[in-house]
Amino acid sequence: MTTQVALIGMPNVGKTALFNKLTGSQQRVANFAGVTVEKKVGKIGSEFEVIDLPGVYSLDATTIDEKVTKDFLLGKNSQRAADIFILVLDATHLDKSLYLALQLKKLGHEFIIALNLMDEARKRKFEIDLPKLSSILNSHIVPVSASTGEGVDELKKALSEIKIQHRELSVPLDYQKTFRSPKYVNSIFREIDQILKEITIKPLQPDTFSERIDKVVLHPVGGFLFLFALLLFVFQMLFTWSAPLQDGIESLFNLLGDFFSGLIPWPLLRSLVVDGLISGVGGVLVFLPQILLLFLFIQILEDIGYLGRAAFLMDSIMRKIGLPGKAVIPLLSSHACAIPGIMSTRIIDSHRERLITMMVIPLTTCSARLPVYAILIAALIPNVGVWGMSWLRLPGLALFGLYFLGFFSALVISVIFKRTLPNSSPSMLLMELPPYRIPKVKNLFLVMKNKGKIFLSTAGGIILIVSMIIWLLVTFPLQNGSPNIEQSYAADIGRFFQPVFAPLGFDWKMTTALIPSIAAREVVVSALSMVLSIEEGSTGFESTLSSALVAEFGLGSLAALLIWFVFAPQCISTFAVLKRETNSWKWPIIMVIYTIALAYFFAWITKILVNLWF
Amino acid sequence: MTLHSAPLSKSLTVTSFSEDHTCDISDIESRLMHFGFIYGAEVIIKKRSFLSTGPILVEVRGRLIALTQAEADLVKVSL
Repeated sequence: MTTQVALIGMPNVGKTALFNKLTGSQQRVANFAGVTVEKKVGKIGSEFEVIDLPGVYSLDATTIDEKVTKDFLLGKNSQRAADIFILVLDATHLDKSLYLALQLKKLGHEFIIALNLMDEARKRKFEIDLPKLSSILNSHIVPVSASTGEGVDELKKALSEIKIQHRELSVPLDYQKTFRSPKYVNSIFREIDQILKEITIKPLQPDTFSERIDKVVLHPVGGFLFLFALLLFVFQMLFTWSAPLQDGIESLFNLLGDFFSGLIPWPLLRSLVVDGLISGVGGVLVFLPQILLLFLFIQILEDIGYLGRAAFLMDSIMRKIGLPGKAVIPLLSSHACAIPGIMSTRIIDSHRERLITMMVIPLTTCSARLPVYAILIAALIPNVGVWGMSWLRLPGLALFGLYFLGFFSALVISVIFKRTLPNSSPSMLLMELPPYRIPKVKNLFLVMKNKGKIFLSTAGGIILIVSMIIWLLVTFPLQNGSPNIEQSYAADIGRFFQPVFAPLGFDWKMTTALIPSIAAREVVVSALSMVLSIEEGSTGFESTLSSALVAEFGLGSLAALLIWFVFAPQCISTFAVLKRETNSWKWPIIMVIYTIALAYFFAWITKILVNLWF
Repeated sequence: MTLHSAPLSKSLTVTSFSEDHTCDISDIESRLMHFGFIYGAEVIIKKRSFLSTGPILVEVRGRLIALTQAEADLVKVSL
C-alpha cells in the first residue's frame, strides 16, 4: 500500500521546490507567498505518494487556499489525514516557521522537519544547535536546500525509516476561537523566543542586500519610475532580442516549404503541405522566441521577489478602483497566461475583490495575443528608432502601449464592477515581502522548457488541425480542377458572418480568419496567412504576411483588428477555469459578452479614426 | 498612537492584542497577530507610500510586512 506523505509549512518556505526535488515533478515555484493555491500530488517510486499543500501561517486560515490545508491538517471534510507529515521550515526565518510547528505539536501531530534554505542561513552566518531543536520538538530534523537538492536523499532515507503511527488529534472544541485568542498566540510566540534563545549559537546577520535594493525599488516616487522603466525595457527586449531567432525559424520554414514544393508533384497535396501545414504552423511557431522571452521575464520578476513589492507600490492606486494591491500579482502573472492568473486570485480574501480581479484578467495581454500583435504591429508601425534613439524602437513602444492599454482597460472595468457589485468588506493587503533572491538559472530554463512544450503542442495540435480545416475550406470546392478562394466554402462562411463585422471594416477574408481564433487566438495568424497565401500562391511568414495584410485590408481595418484583439474574449480554457473558480456559468458568460462589446466598440472607433487621419 | 502616524525608523512597541483582550478577534486582527504584531513586539517603520492614505512597510520580529492604514490602525504602538 502507498504511504501518503504531506508537505506542510508557511507560505514561501520552499515546499513546492522540495516537492519537485522529491518527486521529480516540475510544479511552478516562485518567490512570493501564495504560489501554490491547491494541493498537488506526486510520487516517490511506488512507495510514497507526496501531497504538496498550500502554505499556511497558522491553523487560523483566512483565505481559500489556506482553508484547503487547514481542513487537511484538522481532518475536516472527510479528508484522509496523511501517514507522514514533512514540515518545511525556513532556516532564515525560524521565528515565523516555528509557529506552525508548535501549533501542530500541541494538536498531537508527528512530523519530520525539513529545515530548508540552510545554504542561505549559512551565508548569513547563522548557526543553531540542531540536536537541541530536534529534542525540543521531538522530531527528526533534516537540513535541506530545496533549490540545490542538498539533503533531499537524507530526507528520503528518513521517510523510509520512520515508523508510522496514527494518533488521535486533540483539536480543541472551540478551535477557531482558541487559534485566534491573543493569550494562545502570545504564549506560542513566547515559547518560540525561548526556543530560539536556547538553540542559537550565532545569530542571523541582517539581510542588508534586500534593504539596499528596497531603497530604490520601494522609493515613494522612484519606485514607480523603476516599475515603468522595467516594463518598457521588457517590451523593447521582446522585439530586439527575439528578432535573430525569429529570422532563423522563418528561414527554416521557408527552406522546408521549398523542399516540399520540389518534392511533391501533385498540386493539391503540395498546396496542403506547403500552404496549409507549413505556412499555418510555421506562421505561429515563428513567435516562439518572443513567447519564451515573455515567460522568462515574468518568471525572473517572480523569482527575484519583485511582485510583492509591486503590490505594495500599487496598493493605494488599486484601492481607488476597487481592487487590493495584491491583485497586481495575478494581473501581472496573467501577461504570461490568464489561467494561472485566475487561479492565483485565491490569495485575495474578499470574495467581491477576487471576483472583480478574475473578471478583468481577460483584458490583460496573455502570450497568445503576442503573435497577433507582432504581425499587426509589423504591418502598421515602421521599425524606426524613437527620436533618433536606436535602442528605443517604435514597434517595441507600440507593443508596450498595447499591453498598457490592456492593463489600463482592466483597471477601468474594475471601477465599473466596483460600482455594480454589492459592497463587502475590503480585503487585506497585509502581506510579508520576501527577501530578494537571485533566480536559479535551472528554474528559469525549466519554466521556458515547459512553456515551450505547451506552445509547441498547441502548434502541433489545435493549430495544425485548424490549419488543415482552413486549408480545406479555402481550397474546396475546386473550380475547374483548381482552387478558387472566391468560390470556396471559407468564402461562403466568411460572407455569411461578414455583415456583422462590416462596420469594423472586416471583409469576408478577415471574418473567416477571426472565427477560428475562438479556439486559440494565435490561430488567427495562421488563418490570415493561409487565406492570403492560398490566393497569392506564396508562403506567407512575418514580413511577407505583414505587407500582404496592408495591401489586402488597408490601415483602418488592420488597426481595428489590432484593437479587437486587445479586448476580444479569452480562449475556451480561460472560460472553463473562470466557470470552475466562480462555480457558476453567469460570470464566464458576462465576461464573454462584455469583452465582445468592448472589442466591437473600440475596433469600430479605431477604424473610423484611422480612416479619417490616413 | 497608531502605526501610520508614528515617525519613520523609530523603535515602537505594539500595545494591542494583550492577553486581557476580551473582544472577538477579526480575520485581519488574527492575521496581524500571526504576522508577529503581538503585545510587546518591536516595530520599525521602513517605508511609507507617496500618498498619505497609502500603505506602509514595517519590520516586525525580523519580517518585512506591508499593510494598509486601516490594518495599521488596529496595531496600537507606543514610542
